[in-house]
Amino acid sequence: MSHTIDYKELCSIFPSGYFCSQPDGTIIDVNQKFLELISYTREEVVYKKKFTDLLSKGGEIYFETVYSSILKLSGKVEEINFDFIKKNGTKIPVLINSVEVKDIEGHHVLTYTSVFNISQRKRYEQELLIAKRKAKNLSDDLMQANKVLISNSELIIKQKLQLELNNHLEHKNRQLSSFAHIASHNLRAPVSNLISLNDFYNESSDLEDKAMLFTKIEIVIGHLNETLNELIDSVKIQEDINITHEPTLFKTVFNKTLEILEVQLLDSKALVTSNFSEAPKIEYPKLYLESIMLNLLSNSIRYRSLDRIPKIHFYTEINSNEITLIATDNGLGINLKKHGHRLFGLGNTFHRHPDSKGVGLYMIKTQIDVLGGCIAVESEVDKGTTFKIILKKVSDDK
Amino acid sequence: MISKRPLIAIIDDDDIQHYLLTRIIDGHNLAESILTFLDGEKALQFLADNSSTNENIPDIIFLDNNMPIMDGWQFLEEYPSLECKIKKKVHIFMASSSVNPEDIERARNINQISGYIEKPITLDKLKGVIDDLGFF
Amino acid sequence: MLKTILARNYINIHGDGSKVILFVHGYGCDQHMWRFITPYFKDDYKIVLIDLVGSGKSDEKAYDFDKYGSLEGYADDILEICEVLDLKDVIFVGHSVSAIIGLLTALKRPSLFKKLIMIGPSPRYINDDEYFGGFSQEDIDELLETLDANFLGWSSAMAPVIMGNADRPELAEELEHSFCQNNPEIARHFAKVTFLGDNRSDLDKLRTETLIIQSKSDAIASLKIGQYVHAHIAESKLVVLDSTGHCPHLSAPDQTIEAMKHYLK
Repeated sequence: MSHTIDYKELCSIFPSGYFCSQPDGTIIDVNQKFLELISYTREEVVYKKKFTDLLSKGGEIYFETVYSSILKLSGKVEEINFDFIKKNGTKIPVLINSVEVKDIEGHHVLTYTSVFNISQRKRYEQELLIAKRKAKNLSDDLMQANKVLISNSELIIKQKLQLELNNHLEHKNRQLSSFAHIASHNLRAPVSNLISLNDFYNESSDLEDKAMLFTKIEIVIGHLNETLNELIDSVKIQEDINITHEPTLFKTVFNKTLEILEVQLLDSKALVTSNFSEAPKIEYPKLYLESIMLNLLSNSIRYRSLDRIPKIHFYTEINSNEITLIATDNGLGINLKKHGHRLFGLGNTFHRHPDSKGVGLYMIKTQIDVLGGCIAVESEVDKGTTFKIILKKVSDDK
Repeated sequence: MISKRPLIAIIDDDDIQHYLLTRIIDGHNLAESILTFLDGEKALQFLADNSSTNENIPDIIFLDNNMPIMDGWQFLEEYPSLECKIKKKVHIFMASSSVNPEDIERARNINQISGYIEKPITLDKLKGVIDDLGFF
Repeated sequence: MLKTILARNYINIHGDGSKVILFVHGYGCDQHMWRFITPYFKDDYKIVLIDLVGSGKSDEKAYDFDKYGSLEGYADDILEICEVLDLKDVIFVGHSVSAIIGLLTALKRPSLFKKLIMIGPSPRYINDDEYFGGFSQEDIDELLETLDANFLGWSSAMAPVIMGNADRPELAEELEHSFCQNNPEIARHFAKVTFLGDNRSDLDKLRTETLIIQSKSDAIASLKIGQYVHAHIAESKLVVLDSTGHCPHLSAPDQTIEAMKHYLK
């Protein structure tokens, strides 16, 4: 079945608006749909109105600056959104496509424009626009909130750093006051003794007396020298914050300690055992670990009970991400009520033992403190002593 | 008026200190006799053992504050329980090389302490203490 | 420096002459708008085409909302371009807002331009007491609405998606190749700067020889405004073309070329 298309009729009843204009914008032909859109009669428009007469002033600027330029440059314009002003003054949003018609010489003679009513979709666009603005406001708010959060977290980090600095200072202060204590007790006392001995020496005319005084002076100087060396060692540890941490096997260090103390161990007939299976190794300065083990083991041997076979056990544990070294013995024990507060001070001894110098625990506490660990002690007189040393967090052990 | 020389006790872990004090006291005949102890615990034991007789109880004690086993402070904590058994007034002087104001203040607040002497203990300081107490 | 500025203003230079002619497009378009004019000058002139920053294929990243918050920012760019390209005795051809940009540039450095050709200039678009600019503030608001509508219709809502869509680069390509389509944010800002500005007082200061080309019928810059500009520029000539629209170089290129050639003789 064939059908002849009447193009004039098609143009007229075509379901989108259409008009034809001259280069100056004068409209010379329109279709029915277009007249319906703008609510004018054919007579009111054809040769009476220009394209721009249907636009607002703002729309006219856009027409002149953008629409016309594009049309001239590319011969067509597509999907331009204008608001046409209807006869009653209300606006109708339209989307237009235009094409330039040229004569044989290439001169622009006519413009064909199709017009689509987009009232319906415009409402959606408006909603979209509103939603977009809302989203933008929301995202601006979020960005603002984020900024506040960032600046807050920066503040918290600053405070945290300040706190760490404070802790560090507090630690330094404690060290300083501990030094003041050491200086007054461990240095001032021998120095005043020296002064007194020297006074006697000068006053004395008896040669034998002088010789005796001199021996005593030598003894005091010896003590003084020892104390100074110990102090220097501990200062070295405290300054040595950047000491290298190396993967260290507890077993290796422990065996070395056993070798060093071989003679004392034989003498004491102590039963020494160890179990490092729970935490076999640690990233730690090897020298410090050696010093810690040496001090703990020699303390256990020195302060053993003569009433029973000395039993000494060293082992490691992991408690809440921390590697703990534990040394336990069945020795004399320490009265912690009496001595607890002085346990780790320099020059404090709690036993009438010829070898007691009160250095070891002070030294290892210094070493442990410097690396951020801590040392705790449990003891019962004549039952034994257990030292627990939290060396460091496992998470740091990388 | 006591016209008798005092019995003096020295509690100090430093044997050089014993020697020095003894030498000054003996050199100037300041004491009837001198007792020496190397730590608080031994001194306390001695006092407890001799609390029945006044003869061996010292009139004056020079107490070091920094000693192993039992330091001066601990000695002072234990002493009150003995005090009532001893029939004699015992004057305790804390002798210390500490110049820490906290230590001096702490000593001032302990009833049993008659005075605080900063080391070194010289002849003048000793004479002052003994004279003040009315010996001689 | 040279490379940066060449890219910033997407500068294109051609032509066989020694005399320099610099074309600067107006609001809403780019250097393509001179395509009907330039062929008639290429034999006698070195033709310099530029896109204002924010328009055409200029470097969008160079668009500084503060700098281009007034036309002075663009005038500084023109000075810079002439400096790095070592352009002297320049014939400056500016359409619409760029006529004013040319005016500002000439005031900054009077010796730079030999002649100024203004096409459809307007020193102020908003009516002001006695002064007729042709528009009210509300009209400009409507323009901004139309801009929004078009950017929303086929650009604003979609362009960011299209531009950001790495899977379909041909879409971005398509937008890029179409004429006179600019970043919505920038176009909006440029529209405000263009249509809300007031450069009337600058006209009187200009001493450079100036040709004003004016369409008989121009909805944006009416004949009245062309006459006002002519009256306030000392060394000026006004040519009124028998043409319609704000872009006679597009709608009536032959007349425009004729007026220019005649003036430059």
